[in-house]
Amino acid sequence: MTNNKNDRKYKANVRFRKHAFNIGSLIFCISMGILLIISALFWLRPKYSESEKRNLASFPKFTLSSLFSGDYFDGINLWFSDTYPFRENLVKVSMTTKKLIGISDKISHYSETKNEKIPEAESQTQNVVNVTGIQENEVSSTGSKDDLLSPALPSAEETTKSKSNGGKPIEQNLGSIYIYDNAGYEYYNFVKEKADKYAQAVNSAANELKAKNINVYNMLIPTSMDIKLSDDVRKKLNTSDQNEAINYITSKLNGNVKPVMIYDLERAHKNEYTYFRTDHHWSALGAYYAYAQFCSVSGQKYESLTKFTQYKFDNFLGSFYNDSGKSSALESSPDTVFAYKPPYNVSFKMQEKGSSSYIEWPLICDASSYSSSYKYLCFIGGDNPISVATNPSVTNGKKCVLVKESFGNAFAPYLTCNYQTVYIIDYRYFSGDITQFAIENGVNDVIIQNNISMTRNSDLISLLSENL
Amino acid sequence: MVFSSLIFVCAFLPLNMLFCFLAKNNKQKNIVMLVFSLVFYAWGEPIYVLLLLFMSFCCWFFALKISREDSVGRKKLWLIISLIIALGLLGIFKYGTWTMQNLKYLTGYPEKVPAIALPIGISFYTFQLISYVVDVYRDDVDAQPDYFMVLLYASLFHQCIAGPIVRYSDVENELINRKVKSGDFNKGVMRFSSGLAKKVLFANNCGSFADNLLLTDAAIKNTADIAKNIDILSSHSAFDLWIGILFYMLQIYLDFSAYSDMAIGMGLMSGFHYKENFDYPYESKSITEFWRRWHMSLGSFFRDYVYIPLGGNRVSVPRHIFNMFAVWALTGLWHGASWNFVLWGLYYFVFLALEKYIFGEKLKRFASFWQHLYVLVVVFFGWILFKFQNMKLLGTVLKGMFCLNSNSFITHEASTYVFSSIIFLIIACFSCTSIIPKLKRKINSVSGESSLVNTTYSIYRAIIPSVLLIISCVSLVGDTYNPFLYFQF
Repeated sequence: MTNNKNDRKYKANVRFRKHAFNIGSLIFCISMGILLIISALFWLRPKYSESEKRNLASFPKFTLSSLFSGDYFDGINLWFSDTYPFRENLVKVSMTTKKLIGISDKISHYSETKNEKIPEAESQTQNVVNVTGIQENEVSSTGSKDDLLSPALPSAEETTKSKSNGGKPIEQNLGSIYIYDNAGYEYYNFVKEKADKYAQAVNSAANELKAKNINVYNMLIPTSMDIKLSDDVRKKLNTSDQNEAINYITSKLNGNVKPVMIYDLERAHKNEYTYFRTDHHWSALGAYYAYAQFCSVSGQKYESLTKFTQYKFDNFLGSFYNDSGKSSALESSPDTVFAYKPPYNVSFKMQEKGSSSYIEWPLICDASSYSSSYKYLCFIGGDNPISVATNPSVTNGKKCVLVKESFGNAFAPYLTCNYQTVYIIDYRYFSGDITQFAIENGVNDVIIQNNISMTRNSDLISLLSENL
Repeated sequence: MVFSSLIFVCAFLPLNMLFCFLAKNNKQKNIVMLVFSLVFYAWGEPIYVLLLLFMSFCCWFFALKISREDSVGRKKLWLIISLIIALGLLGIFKYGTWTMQNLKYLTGYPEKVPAIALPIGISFYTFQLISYVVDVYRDDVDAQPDYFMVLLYASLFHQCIAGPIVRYSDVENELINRKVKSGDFNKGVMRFSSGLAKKVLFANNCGSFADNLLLTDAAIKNTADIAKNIDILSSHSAFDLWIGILFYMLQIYLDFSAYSDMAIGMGLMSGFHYKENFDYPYESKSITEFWRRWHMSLGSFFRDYVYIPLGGNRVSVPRHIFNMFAVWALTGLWHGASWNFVLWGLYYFVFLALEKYIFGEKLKRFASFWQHLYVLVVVFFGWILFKFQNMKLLGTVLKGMFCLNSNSFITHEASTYVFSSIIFLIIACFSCTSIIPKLKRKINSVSGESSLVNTTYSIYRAIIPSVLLIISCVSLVGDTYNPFLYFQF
């Protein structure tokens, strides 16, 4: 009797299971049908991705050659998956799926470098200026963006890698990137030969300028890797010590160069928003501390940041984001660019790449309409061969030349508080002799400013030594 | 088109199933399948689809000739002609560039080596067609009078471009008359959806780990930047390289077996029964066993059409060793026109010969742990040969694994990168074992008695295929990392 009952139960269970399997297949087929129908709802297909700030793939144009080469069908595949309806939400869900199967995005990208040993040099540490920065709520005046002009993107910035160096393009890619806790950091590997060459270039320019009584300042800017990371994480990374490297290069400079040491100062303010997370640049606040230190070294008074007008541009995804193949960790926490407009009526003009005439441009422009990777262009119209800022309220007649790369963009506006005329030269794009330029224009000071990564890039060093 | 592309899963396959469902009889179904298969192939190779049509035509034509010929000599002649055509085309399109490069290296001629593009799946369908002609010659199967049936056999999108290598005899009856049983359909649905998830969730992610820890395949093949890539590779820590290759080892199995799962699953859904292609090869206890469980359809092809015709093992010892050598050099070469693949094949030849003649019996006396370890280590190093086509890169990796590139053993970056995703690594390792199917069988046997287990399992089976399908599709949206490794073969 029990046997019979068990038997019946067994059969019932098997039947039940069979039904469930059939239902499973039915749901599967229905799901496929739904996927097919959603695919066909072409009017729901997005054309632009808000989170990635890019135009999605469009349906390819039919040509016979693209048909035969297979590009046409590849284009359809890309269009199909790139513009699937409800894409934005689906992408978010897929990130959650990754976490569910145990994939963390703590470190999402890294590569390693080989470093040379940095020869010991005497510590060049100078007195660090005691300066307070600013908190968002301390700003005396927050500017409305309506006050700012928002010109179209400088045309040359559309193609960021420009100007050829004797036909050879300048190697200017970031080195290896380390992405940790939603922030990117650039590795720096010390190369002695190049560091020496950098110091030589600065020395020879200084010798010439000193003869004309022009002061030469050299400022080497550390990158976020050595400033922002906590010591225990930073020590474990295979990247050269930037403080040692800066000390070494500075020790190679001759007495005609006045070094502006900002490492300790930046370290002291490491917990403030002095560097971007998704971009290799420093923020305007990081640049401000360097400005204060420069003033202290050159015996000038620095303007308090509270007097400036603050502007804020959200949703910045910079070079780390783009060079890491659009890391989702970075995408999840975009930067905000703060810009500080000096409390003067500064006039500013610039020469665009490949042009020999000046155009008027706002010193700080409204970047809110620029796409997310171009927000840093709010400062001095981006990288241009030469620009000139004039502050009529400063009547001391002082002039300076800032020889810079893109870190200088956030720095340059502050100098207008101290100099009547600031010539800003991006040595990567400027063709001409900068030393001669300084002498001809009768400037008082030349500030040579580079982030530490530039001192290991042979193309840039040769450009610097050619142009200086 | 690949199985794991959104357009395949969300458009091609549903439409194919819909049309098959609407087709009234087997003939109509075959028309549907043929049209879909040709579209599928032409989608990836708009020109070379003609090559597929041509090769199928030749093999169909000569198979008929063979079957209608009485004289053994003539039969042989037709066989040889068809083999020359099929292998000749394979030789030109797959090995042409490589042969000329080697010639140029040795003799300096030809001066300019033309780059011939490799048609997708040519290695798979050529072997299928060869097996068909040879089987007809051997009287194992009847020649198919209808060209379109031979074409359907060779081009069927389930297996045309990445296997399994299906024998004509296995599908002969099903081509003409097939019925889809509901039990088979259910199995097929489960098999396809789990294969898709295996590919999208596991193989792809293992692949992106391997790329990050080693080099991407694109970088390995990039001969222009070789110095730069050697530099990058030599700066990797030893830990990077070991774990990177482990991820690659997982990727290649998950990727390839997922493709077979999907092919077998789709076959079941439309009435075809393809043979298994993988049987948890990483669980093997000897290399001999490994090759019985890895890419089984290729192994059996070489066994039936090369090894046994050469005399198999019923010959003198030196001749047997030569037979093995020939089979494994060819197996290596089949995987790609590059010396590293030949080396990879011969690497296995050495272990197989050693197992056969030296330590095969001794190996069995060890505890099974050591047997497994031995297989995994041999296979692990095999994949290094397989991945790095450039000998300089290969040398760099091997040195780097033992810290001989003045690289460190482990770096903070490497350990954080790997250990923060250690759960994924563990799950991926488990997904290469037979634990899940064993568990399934266990539940199946228990669920007859326990209603609770039965109900839970039933509900699970009712929803899991669609859940896997949808999760995979969601992951595919905007996913740029989606290569099928076995495409290049």
